[in-house]
Amino acid sequence: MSDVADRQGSERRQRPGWAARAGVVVVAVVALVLVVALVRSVGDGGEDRAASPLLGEVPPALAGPTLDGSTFDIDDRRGQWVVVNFFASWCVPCLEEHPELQAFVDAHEPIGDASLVSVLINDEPEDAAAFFAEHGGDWPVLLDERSQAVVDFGVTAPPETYLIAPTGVVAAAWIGPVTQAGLDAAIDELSGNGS
Amino acid sequence: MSGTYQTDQTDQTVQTGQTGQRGERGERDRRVAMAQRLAWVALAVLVAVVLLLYGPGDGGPATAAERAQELKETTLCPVCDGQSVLESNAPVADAIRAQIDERVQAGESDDAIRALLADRYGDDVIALPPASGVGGLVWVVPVVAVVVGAAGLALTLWRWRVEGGHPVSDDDRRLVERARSSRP
Amino acid sequence: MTAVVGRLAVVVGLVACVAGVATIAYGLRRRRPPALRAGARYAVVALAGALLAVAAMEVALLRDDFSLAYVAGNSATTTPLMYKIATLWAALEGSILLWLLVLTLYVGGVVWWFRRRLDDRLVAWALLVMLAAAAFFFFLVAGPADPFATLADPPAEGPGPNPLLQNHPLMVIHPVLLYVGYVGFTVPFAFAVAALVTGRLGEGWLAQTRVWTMVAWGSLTAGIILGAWWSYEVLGWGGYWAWDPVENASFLPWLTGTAFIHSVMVQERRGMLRIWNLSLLLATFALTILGTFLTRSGVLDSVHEFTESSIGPLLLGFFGVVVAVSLGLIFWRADLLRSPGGIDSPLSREATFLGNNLLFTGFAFVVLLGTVFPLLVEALNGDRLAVGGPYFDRMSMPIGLALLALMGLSILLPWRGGSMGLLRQRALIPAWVGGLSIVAAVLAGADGWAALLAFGLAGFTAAASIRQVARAIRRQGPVAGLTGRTSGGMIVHLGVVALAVGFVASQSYSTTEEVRLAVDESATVAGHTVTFLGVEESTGAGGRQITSAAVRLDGGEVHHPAVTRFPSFGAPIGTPSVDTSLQRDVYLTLLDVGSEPGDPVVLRVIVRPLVVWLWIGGGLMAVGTVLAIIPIRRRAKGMLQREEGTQPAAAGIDAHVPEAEAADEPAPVGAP
Repeated sequence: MSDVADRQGSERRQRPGWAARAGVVVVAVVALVLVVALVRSVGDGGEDRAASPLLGEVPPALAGPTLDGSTFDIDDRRGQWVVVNFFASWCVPCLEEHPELQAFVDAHEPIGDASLVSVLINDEPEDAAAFFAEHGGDWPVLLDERSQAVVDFGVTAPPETYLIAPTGVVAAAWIGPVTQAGLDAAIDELSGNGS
Repeated sequence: MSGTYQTDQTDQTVQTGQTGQRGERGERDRRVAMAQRLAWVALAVLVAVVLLLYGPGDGGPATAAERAQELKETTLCPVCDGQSVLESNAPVADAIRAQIDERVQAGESDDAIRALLADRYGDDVIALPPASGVGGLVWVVPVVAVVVGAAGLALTLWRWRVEGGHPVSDDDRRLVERARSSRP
Repeated sequence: MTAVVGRLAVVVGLVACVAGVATIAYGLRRRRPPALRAGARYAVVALAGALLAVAAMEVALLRDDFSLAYVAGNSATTTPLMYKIATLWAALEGSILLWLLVLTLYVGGVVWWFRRRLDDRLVAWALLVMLAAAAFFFFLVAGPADPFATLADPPAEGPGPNPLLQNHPLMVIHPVLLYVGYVGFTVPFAFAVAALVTGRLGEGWLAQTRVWTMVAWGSLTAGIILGAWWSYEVLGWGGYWAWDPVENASFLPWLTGTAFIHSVMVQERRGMLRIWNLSLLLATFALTILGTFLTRSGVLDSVHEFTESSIGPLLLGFFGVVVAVSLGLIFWRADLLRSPGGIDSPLSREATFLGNNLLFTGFAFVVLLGTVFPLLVEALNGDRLAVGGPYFDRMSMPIGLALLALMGLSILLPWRGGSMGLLRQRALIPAWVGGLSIVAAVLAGADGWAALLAFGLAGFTAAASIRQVARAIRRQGPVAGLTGRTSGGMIVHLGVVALAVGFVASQSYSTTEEVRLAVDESATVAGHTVTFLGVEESTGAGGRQITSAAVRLDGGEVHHPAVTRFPSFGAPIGTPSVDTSLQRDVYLTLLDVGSEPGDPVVLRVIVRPLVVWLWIGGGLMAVGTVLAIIPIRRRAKGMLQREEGTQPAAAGIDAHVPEAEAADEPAPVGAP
């Protein structure tokens, strides 16, 4: 019996530690893959928000009760440019862009080629009413109390603005406050492309 | 009587002159073994019955509230650091929660709701990785690893068994004899 | 002034570490013991440097010295004293300083513990490795993560630490314990590297570092559980573990560390599984570095995220070096690591520990895979996906059940192998306890085969553990029977069982509902009635505005879930109120207060069974760890003698079984 043990022992000695070495190689490969992936991620800057998936698509339905008690339906505005602006009374950039929106409305309402509708995100109607009372503006404000418009448009935080072409597709999207000049420029450019 | 060790052949040579007692003890041993076997069978039956009766349980979220809860737990807030919409206080999380409630009540399926949220906010708001494609690897690789590990373990144990571990040498036997004879 | 002192201290520490490494390296190469001893003295200088730097920072914090950028960015004059002290580790630079302090304390401790063996090559190499690690962290603090940067124009007031860090005293202890745990693994790691380098792969170093390893493991365990407790009490979502990348980062080294402390017992008794043990130990240390990297680099979304900074790549580099060195050493010494024997039987404790190793390693692999998978996929083809809690829950369930079962089995099986008959005999009563646990759970309202199986296995393992402790007490009396590695370990296992039961019950059987209540209106959730009484406003420490809702629970105690607004942080922070009992927690969060007084409020009510068992389990684990460490000197000395050849050694360390710890089987062949 001791013969057998000796033979087995010497067999083992002839290939010492091969299993361990093979294991080391496997782990080394896995670790290398991991480190490479991590190196590449560290290089990345912050995340870029992907472009809105709605561009070029028919916008979701936008209809419902408004701040002043009437109802709004975007289909009524077919044939016009419609600017859909998501805002909240607690949102500081929204306050900054408010005069710009007012100027936009004042410019286009007499012509009748473009109009504005605001959508309330995460806010109480009373606070929105107070906001408008203090800063002026009498365009329709959609209450969106179940946040359907917010999620349908994929809005993450106010202010976000979407431009709907007269043909009824989403033509442009902005994250952050907009200016009257910016809105006008977009309308001019997209009209020029013959949409 | 507990802790009876499985001994090798050397043990039997020590038991001498106890044939009569051994016979009685043998009878007692057999009865004890029978009783233990019965106890095991009874336990197996009990556990099987209970698990069969109560195992199936609820079968996943059923009511609308539970479905909505689960959707909220498994949808991540797009602008928070990895929090689910249930945990987060961000405005968009509130909005998504409200919509999940509304759509569940409207009768939309879980898949449809998730598809909409993924389309609008990106695939990375769904906390569960996809079951197919590259993403599906995260499900497959652990299972493969477990199978490989278990196979490796079985193979190693078998190989060690076959190689016989430590063969018992004569020196070892003498040590055993000495130790046994000096025991009270 | 403090900035100058702090910077100077850091530089002194850095120079001391580098000098120490150089001196020890010289002493090892030229075989000059005096150089080795001198090297150890540099360790003390490094410790002094770290102490001085931390003291300088604390002085700056306590004196509201806003000329330091770190203080200006993280503290405020209104911060309460306890939290001001804790602001040291509230943000990146300071937390690296804390790491450094803990590390140098450990180095100093090792120098003291081994003070009579400083010219031993093994100890010298270990010190060299530790000083090299310390040098790296000193370098980080001296350069990229400098907490002593000054502002030319100091502000009059700072924003204070993040409100979430000021809400609860647990936030003061949890990071410190975590660091004592993480950093503590540097000690056994250094000794493992030393053993590989010197080729002295006998069992001496394992025994001598056992206390250090247990302290590190115990602290890490306590730190993780306290973190979960804090998360539950403070954050307001009613959960305690979200499989957040930073939580996973702390869990990974715990998993490999736990496998190690078990598998090491096989090495001590049989000299086997050496490659496993070295790999587990090296992996644990590497994972602590990886975890630090993941927490600080910003590559993964997490609520624990510190600010992104340039130290990310440096930490990744350090991780790469650690992995490369570890793998290289094992590769080089692979033939010395062959074990003298094999596992005799699948029905032996060694076999269960081997299975244990596989399960824990598998668990760690799954957690690591899930955590970094989004990065891997994005690096590969640009897709973005998320791997969230549900994935980890699903994956950890079968592994957890297997671990529970194995835990019980390994307690019942003897070393070297028993027969099926033996197992059937020993396991009968514990198995019946398990079966009755399932029945008890069903009677209490549980269902679902996975949960029931978990309860059954928990009962089985608890009974096996108690049986073991009872035998030890019967044999050795209450004091000796309760202390020592085996009995301490059994108490830890009881803690794990309690934790598992609490975890399964609170995950599977909670009820959550959001209710809108007007004043004096009630609602019932899972049999508990909540009545809204009214809203209260108050001002708290540091100028915080607290809006709370008085809610009466079950016609008895009044709770005050609140929403707190801090002066310099815009978004309000929710503060939940929890009613705890042994059977269930009722967790109340105030979601919405309404704009006018008298408006209805929205409350979230969560009823979670058996949550407090988690914390009880954690406490038991801590107690058990302390009990396990107690009789340390005797064993260590015995192992030392064996290594130095003053005792006859059998193949492996078969013969050493000391005390009557393992006396539930007859003494093995050859015992003295």
